[in-house]
Amino acid sequence: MGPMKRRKVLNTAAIGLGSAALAACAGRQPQGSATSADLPNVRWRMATSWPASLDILYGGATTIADRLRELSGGRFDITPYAGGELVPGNQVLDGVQSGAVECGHTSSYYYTGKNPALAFATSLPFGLNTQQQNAWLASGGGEEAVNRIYGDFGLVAFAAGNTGAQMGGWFKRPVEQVADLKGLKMRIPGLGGEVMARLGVNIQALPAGEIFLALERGAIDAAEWVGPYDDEKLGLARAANFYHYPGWWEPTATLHAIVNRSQWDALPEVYRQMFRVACSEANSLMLSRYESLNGPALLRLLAGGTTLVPFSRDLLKAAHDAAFAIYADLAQDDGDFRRVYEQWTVFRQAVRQWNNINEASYADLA
Amino acid sequence: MKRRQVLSTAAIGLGSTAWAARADQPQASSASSSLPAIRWRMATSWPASLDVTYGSAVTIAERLRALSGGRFDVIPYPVGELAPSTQVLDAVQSGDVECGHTSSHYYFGRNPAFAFAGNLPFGFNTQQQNAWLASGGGNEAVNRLYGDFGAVAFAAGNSGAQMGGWFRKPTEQVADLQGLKIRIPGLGGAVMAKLGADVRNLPANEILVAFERGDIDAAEWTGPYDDEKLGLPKVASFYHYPGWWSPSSSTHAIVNRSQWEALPEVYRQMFRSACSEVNSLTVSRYESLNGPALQRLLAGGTTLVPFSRDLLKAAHDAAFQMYADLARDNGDFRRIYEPWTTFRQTVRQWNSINEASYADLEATT
Repeated sequence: MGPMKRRKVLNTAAIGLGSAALAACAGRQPQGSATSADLPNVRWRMATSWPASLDILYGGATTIADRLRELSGGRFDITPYAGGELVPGNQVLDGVQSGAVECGHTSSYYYTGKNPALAFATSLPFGLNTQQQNAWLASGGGEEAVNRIYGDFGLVAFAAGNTGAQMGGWFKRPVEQVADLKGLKMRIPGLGGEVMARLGVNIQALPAGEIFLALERGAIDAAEWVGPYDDEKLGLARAANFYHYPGWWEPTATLHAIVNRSQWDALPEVYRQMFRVACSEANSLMLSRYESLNGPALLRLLAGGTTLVPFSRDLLKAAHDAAFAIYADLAQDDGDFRRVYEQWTVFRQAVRQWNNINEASYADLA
Repeated sequence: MKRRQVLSTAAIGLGSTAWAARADQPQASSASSSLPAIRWRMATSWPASLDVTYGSAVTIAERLRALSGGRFDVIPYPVGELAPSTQVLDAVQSGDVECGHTSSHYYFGRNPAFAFAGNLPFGFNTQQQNAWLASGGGNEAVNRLYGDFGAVAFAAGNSGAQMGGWFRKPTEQVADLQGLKIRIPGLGGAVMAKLGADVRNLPANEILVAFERGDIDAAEWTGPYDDEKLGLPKVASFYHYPGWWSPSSSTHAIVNRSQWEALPEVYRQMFRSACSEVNSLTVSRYESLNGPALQRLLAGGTTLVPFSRDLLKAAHDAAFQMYADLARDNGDFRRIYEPWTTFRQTVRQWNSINEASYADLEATT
């Protein structure tokens, strides 16, 4: 099916929403009036940033679609598309903003060039861990902050997946000290990439599907993606031997489902509720899948000859200091970044104090 | 009696449309135009004053109304209104109420394997527990247990890693536990008993009074936010950590199986999704609220006391000895314990690389 045909399907679906949807759009009516009797059939396309082969990541989108069909008795029908099928993987925001697709599943930090504060939606180097990130988003003001930023692009956003704490990536040679980073060509996006650049790395952004070839051919010396399960699928272990940790630039990584605001406003209220709850389920289920599958994948990688290498304390310290210097600069130059950063910092201090007592004291033990 | 009547009416109200929408039919046939209005009662083990844990039940109910356009209407009731805290399962099993929200470790006496549903002492952290439940075989294992009681169960809340409870005197060594009257349920209580404590179980709303009467010398509930609401810092000064018996603690929504099977398929899906959302939302709420609550407690004169390494080691060894005994004596426990142990080893190996190495760093920066 060509792009033109797809566009036509979209228009038909949008018209199909009809008056029932518009009548229910204000959300101010009593819930009972959104009776399921007159719920319309809605078909949406979801552009994702992921190759379908990354079944957990791409599975975030299919989980949302599956749950919506199950919750709506098949009436709210979303079809996910792999990265590049509808729009390039790092342009999902643009595709949804323009209305070319109704919704997407992507990583917010691909768009820090549009607004650096979008980094908070995903993760900051040396930022929150997954439980803290979810708490910040769900009940610490994060979701509201993220949606103020996405609102400027005509979008609404929902946390809809998480990789957990990532690995530090694949290197052709062990990289333990800051000096080893000078001139290194590495695939690493977002703020993590900016920190690496400050430490002397020549950073590159490549979509998942291009990393293996670039690493194998020597166009890059190093690359990070997610963790053992995904990295194994991308073949990275066949292109580099040294697997570093921790992935200090992504101690968690939230994926977001984003929806074109006009399409969102036209949805019946119960479909909006279904979309929200489906994203919440995808948000926790993806993390659970990674937690369950990364361990066995790491064992396979080690059995296959991969060598684990910890970053040195000196490198971590240098990266930490560079990261917080970047945040200070961004907060000075960018009002959005500053507003989120100040609130985020207060939340981070309180939750870290708490987790030092209830979590760290137990982790020491376990 | 009146409540019983409301229930019967609701049950009859399910009628033929509900049965017509059994899961084996294609989804489209459970067309939403024929969805019935359903009212259920949810018995909980929690006082309404514990707004995060009781709030789990409230949020499930709110989501169900929002998802169904108000047609699937579940009303939560605080502890004691429909059933005592540790008898929610009985009420759901008998059909007195359609569903409940409770802690599985209250039913440890019925089947010790219920402990896995909540979590074991020295068991998983919250992320590991959720992974085991959602994609490590845990939900299936838990539902085999609840199936014997005519119930289906969904993880529907989590306290996060708990504190080690309130003590009138600092309790750092195993010797300090001898004869200590402490409120602590489940397997954590069983381990405490092995270490010499005099163990009680009391519902949340009776802990404070028991302290005041001198019936207990110590009590654990969850963490700063809840414990403050229960008034525990007013009756004991020494707040211990870590809560090694609950490094994570799942609560469950349980549903009478006949009622479950009579639900239209889309309502079952809504119930499942609502529980999933609440399962993560509850831990987020605790994560956000416990830090500020701990600061208030410390400002109010509470003293933090870590358990000694020796006590923790003794508790750890007693716990795993108990698991070995239970696995030997109880087939249900054994069938879960073996794959649980394998899952735990693998996820701990992984987390020692991706999480612990980062946590070490955090502690020094």
